[in-house]
Amino acid sequence: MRFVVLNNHCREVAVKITKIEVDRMNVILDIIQNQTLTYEQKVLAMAREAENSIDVLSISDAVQELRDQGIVCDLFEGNAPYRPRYIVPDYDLFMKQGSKFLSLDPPEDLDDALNNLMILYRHVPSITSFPVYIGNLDRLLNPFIEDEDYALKAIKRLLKYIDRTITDSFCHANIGPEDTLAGRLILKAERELQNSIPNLTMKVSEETPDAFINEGVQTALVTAKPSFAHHERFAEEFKAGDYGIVSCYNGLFIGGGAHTLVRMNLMKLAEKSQGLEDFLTKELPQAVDLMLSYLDERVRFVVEDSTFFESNFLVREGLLHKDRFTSMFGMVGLAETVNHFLATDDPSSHFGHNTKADDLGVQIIETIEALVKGHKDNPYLAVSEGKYLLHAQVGIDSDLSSSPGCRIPIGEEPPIHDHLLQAGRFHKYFPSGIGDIFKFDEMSKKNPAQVTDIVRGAFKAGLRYFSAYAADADVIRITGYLVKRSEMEKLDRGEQVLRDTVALGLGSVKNQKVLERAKRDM
Amino acid sequence: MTGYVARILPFSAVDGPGNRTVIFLQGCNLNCAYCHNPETIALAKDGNVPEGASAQTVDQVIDQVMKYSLFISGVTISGGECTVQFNFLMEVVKALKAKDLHVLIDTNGMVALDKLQQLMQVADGFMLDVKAYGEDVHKALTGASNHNSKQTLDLLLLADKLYEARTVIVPDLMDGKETVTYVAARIAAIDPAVRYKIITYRSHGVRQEMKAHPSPSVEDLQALKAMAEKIGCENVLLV
Repeated sequence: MRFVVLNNHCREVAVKITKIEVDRMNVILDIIQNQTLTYEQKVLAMAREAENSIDVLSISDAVQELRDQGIVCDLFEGNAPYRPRYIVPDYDLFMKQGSKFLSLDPPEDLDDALNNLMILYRHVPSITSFPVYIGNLDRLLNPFIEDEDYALKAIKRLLKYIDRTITDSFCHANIGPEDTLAGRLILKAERELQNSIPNLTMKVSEETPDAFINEGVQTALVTAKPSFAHHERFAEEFKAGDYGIVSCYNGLFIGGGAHTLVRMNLMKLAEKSQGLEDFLTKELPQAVDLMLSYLDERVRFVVEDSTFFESNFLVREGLLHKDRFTSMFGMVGLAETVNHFLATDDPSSHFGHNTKADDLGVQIIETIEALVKGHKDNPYLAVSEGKYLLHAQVGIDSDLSSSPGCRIPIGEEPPIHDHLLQAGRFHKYFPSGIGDIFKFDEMSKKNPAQVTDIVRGAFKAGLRYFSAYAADADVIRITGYLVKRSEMEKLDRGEQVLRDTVALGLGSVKNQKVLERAKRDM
Repeated sequence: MTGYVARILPFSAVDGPGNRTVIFLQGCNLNCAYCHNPETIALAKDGNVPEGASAQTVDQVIDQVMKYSLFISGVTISGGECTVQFNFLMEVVKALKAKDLHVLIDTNGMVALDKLQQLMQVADGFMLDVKAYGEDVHKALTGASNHNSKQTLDLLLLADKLYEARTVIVPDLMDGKETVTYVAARIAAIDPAVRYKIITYRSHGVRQEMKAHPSPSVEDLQALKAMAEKIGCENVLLV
């Protein structure tokens, strides 16, 4: 025991520090004693507490005020970002060269390929400590497929391994745009397994055959994935390299990723404003500027102070490049913001139902886009020309009166054709991610070509990302990630569940009425 | 030109290939016992539009369809019986084709054959409802002879314009075996790949007097399907 003589001031400080320490001890003890967390979830929760016990970022009072008000939110990235939030390794290169650090030779057959990938996945960090991107799987596996029956069994084993060990729904695989046997086997396997992890995107181009998209639709209606990404649009925007769809639906450079994502809750900012004029000309520019300074500081710490790029073997072996990283400026609550300023109870005047309301939505997004593009170039975002990419954030489980990104609120959805045309006005502003979700009647399973038509039409209408599931599916898309209804029911009864995102799903079901999404009868 | 439209369904999964907009025209020349949309039977007379329907110009119809055109494989025109408003139908089909849309006609095959020939020149394909083989049975079931319907089946098959033939199986009111045998034989003889949809009668949506009428058993339906396949139909679907 140490004895220290303290003056009054020091005593006050010591009491304060002691209180914080006691609080933290209590939090950690709570984590240890929590019976609904798995061992792994406890370790990760305690790591978060450890990270948050230090303050290393230079945050201005004005930024802190916005954070305290919930207007700016770093989505629980932590006080000391010690790795980029989203990491998108170049798995194609890994398949070619193996890994010196992991002592892996390039694969010679399908078993080698799957085993190498399974090993690498354990070593890909991210905000969740699980990989948020696991590759364009069909492209990686197709060269090794010789026997179709064997390949299906092997792919099912891989997918089951991912679902049971990468216990976080933000893990994302891609397939397409080419129609491959591996792609079809992945879809078939997912249809049979009905797992919530990994999330899956099918890249769709003009050349992608309808028959392959139909396979994707059949799988999506059963198990809420794949979602469909407009390949030509993403390829054009990410022409400085190749792109992957990551985490919820984020478009990012392969061999890079995003250091950070911070979001702005537009509705909370709107409530603080003195009317629309004040919002557009004063509050929004100020808040965007402050949020950009906060983003700059988080990026700076990751690049300059965390030593990630100096020490991680993924960088050393060329699977990641510092200069292929960008970062994301997120937003939520456009619909509520527009409705707030229009101040009307008439649903036909609301966002999603009225051209004037939608025009105001576009005006707000274009204002944000101009402000973000007008921010001084950040040298660490060179791959996106020094600028942050806009991101329509899907929300967090505790959000109460802010719909994800630019989405029309659940319960107010217009007919699907109007909905798609409306959404098509907003998707172009968000290269690093935006998407809309449609719940179909079970009947659509008998005619998947119907949904394929709608996907193709959606892309023509301007959408970049489209998600679907059928009303009777157990796996459902919450906002951008997948959770099993049956797992949420277990957690709600106080039982332990394997996957950490079930808790987020349950929160969203309760706060954002996810299960009440409109069913599209046709 | 003005016609009478019962309603326009923006998206349908069950009226032809892919996603389709369906235009239901008002008025029918049959009065089927099991009709699921009896409100669409009445014809507009002397400018009186039946309740629920509306008088619309060709342009008005096309304007609505074009709102959905990005998202559909094509348009299906149904009824009622759409050929009852033949002149309006022809104009709508021509206008849709001018917009490069795929057009299917859903019909009971009662239309006069010269008119059918004109429609076949402009529409991409047809869905034909063959209600019963025996003429007396057809009369009892629908109120009219089925003479044209059989010729329509052959004409469409020979011209490669039949997308799908259909029969609703209603126990006691028609001989399912006889009708399926006839239709399956014609399809098998001319174009075995054409889809034949054998549909279960269901009491949902029918008139009160038919509510208690039983649906066919699953076994009976499967036997009909097996029979059609044995005759040579390659694409038989039970619904």
